[in-house]
Amino acid sequence: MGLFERSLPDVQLFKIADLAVNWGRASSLWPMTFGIACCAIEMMAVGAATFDMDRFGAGAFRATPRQADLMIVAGTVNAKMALIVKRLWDQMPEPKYVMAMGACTVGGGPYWKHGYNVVKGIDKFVPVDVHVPGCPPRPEAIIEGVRFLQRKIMAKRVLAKGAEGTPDFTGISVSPGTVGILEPTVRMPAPPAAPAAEGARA
Amino acid sequence: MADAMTSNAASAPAKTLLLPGDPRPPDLHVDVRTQELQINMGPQHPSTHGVLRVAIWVDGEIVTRAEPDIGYLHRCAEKIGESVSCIQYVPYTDRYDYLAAMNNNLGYCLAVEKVAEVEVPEKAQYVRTVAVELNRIASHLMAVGTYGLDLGAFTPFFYAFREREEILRLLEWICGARLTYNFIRIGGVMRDMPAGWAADVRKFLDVFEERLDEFNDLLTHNHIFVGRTANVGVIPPDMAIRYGLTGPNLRGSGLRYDLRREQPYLLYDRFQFDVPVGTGLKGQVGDCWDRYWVRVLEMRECVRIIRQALDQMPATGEIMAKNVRHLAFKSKPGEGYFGIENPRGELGYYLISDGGANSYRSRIRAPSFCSLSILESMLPGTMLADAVAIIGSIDIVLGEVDR
Amino acid sequence: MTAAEALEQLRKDGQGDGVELFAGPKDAALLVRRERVKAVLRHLRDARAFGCDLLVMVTGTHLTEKKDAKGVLVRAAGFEVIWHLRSVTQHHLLAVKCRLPIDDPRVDSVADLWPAADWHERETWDLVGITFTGHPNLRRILLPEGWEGHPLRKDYVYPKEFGGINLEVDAPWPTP
Repeated sequence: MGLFERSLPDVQLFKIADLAVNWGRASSLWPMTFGIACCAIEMMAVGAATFDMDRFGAGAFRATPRQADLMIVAGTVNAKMALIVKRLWDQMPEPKYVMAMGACTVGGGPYWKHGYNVVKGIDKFVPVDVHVPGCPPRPEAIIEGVRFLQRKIMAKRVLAKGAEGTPDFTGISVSPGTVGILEPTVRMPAPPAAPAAEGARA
Repeated sequence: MADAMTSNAASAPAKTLLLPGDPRPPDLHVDVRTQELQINMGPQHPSTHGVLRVAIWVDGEIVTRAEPDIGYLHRCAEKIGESVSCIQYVPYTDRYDYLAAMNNNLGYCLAVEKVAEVEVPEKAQYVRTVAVELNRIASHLMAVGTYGLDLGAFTPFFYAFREREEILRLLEWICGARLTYNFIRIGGVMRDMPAGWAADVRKFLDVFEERLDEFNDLLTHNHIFVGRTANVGVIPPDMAIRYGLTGPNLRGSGLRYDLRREQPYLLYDRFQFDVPVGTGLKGQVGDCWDRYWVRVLEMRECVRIIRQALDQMPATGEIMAKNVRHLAFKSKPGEGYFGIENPRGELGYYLISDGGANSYRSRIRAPSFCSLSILESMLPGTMLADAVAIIGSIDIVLGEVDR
Repeated sequence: MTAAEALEQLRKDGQGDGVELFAGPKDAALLVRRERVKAVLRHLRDARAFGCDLLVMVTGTHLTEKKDAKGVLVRAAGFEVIWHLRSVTQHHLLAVKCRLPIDDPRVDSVADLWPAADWHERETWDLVGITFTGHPNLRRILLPEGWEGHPLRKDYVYPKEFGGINLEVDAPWPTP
């Protein structure tokens, strides 16, 4: 969703600006402490010493939705809770992201059949960016979910034109050390040595 | 001097600043007018241990009325207990008290075994004991770690989690899951201990005992911590009994009552262990600090029990009862209640069986549910800041409260 | 103390009226007539011989009609309320039962004898739909206000939505 889509030309400058904005957003995700059930314990484990989500720039757990930009819904959401989840999501400032953590939030989990008041998947009432399955997911899975979200954020368009989700930064040279989290999405300049060697062999 | 003051007050009735000993002018309360205010704690609140909502009415800073509102995590436990077979229900029990999943497995399996008349082999009982007690340590670590967190001490949380991760590693090794184990099955356990596991448990216990002292230095005798918990939230023993409190909450009030002692299940009658109770070391008997301290002491007793269980355990033996056919398990008709000592109190399962694969009625007696009901009468009269200390000290798990 | 001993003691104390022994295949219990429930429970709490000071739990069951293969009625439709009492000082567990008719499930509340019963009775009303007369605050506890029906009845139909929130299971994804 280019902010200046109609008025501004598509120049390389905007692509670079996008990169900077997205990099800032992706590398400082502030999750909201929103533990509901069993998954919350694993979410706490991710924040604690052994797994330490701070390494990925997403460890500053905030107690209020006003300061957070990632809502990790960790646990079963039932009819009584769903209204609260919705309200908290409404209170978060843009840009905001939602991670559905655990089988219950993905699709009802073990309560999909006989859980008369369990909401079978939180994507029925809030838009979900990342689904992390598992009952509960391991901390590594949560970290992977956060990294996946970071890649997704990097592919957003803020100023530059073009469809979202297709990162096209051709012409912008990025040195691999600057944006370490982006490697799978952003096309890096290929290391020169290996292809040359393969070509020589062929 | 007092006379001088009174004469002074009499000559100047408009004076608003009063010194101790001054006679109170009759119209003072008109000037200082307070209004009752309702505030809402939760369900999204960092120190309510999950999705608990407490509506609190305060007058100034004093709580006048408190009303816990639960049900934000109601997951239809009892309906599912009727709708799926007994064998299928075991993994669900993990998810109610997710901090002590082994204990929940055990409670349910013992209840089914009582109704269905299943004899569990000795080796399986020892393995169960070790697993359950390890999980009890993990649960208490979580309780005391997050209790520090509630009161503003962030560091103990990390220290508690360091040990907890060790236990989770051991439990993961034995059953493959970090949190929801499904390890204790009806008739025995899922599998025997892997080679080298027992040695690793012993190694952990040695390290853990030393680190518990470290933890004590960090939190137990910390002046700020003691100041916030001693003499706060005192529960007298008779009140604790009337409200159905069990486990560390009851023992914190000075009553030596532990189901592992009173009606030994598993093999608890073979082990030597103490039942620690609150003694009012820092304040009155039954205050928040006592309940915290009972949990810390219990961890030491768990270490003792695990050591003895590992020593006495036969090297080989059956781990699953012979007469349990898991694919076509049918209980005998009958009904029974079985209560065990969960880290949070008496966890009971009441089952009615029709003779089919499902139980006709399965009711969970959740200790947190009973402990939480005391809030309504305990919070009025306390300071608002102490409400967090009190809620943290009774150590609830909302998954179990709401089921 | 077993249920049989408890019944004997109750008769000795002159409280045995309307109480009989429910000898199930496993746990035995005292089966008490509805009008006598509160008096018997009060006696169990106060009498020195019983001393049941800890109310473990209160729960209810919806019993459906059941006939055996020959069509003989094994179990009549109705409700059952069970109180489990424990004595902290004398270390015993007693179960007290009461049968209620299907069309009038109401029984006296014991919330004034044990404050612990307050929430248990609210939960039993919420999930099973048994009315406890004399309860100070009998309203839903686990389910939200405005919920219809009592889920633990055997004829309960799962709702499709509540308060604008869809509670149905998604259709499975189309297979390619």
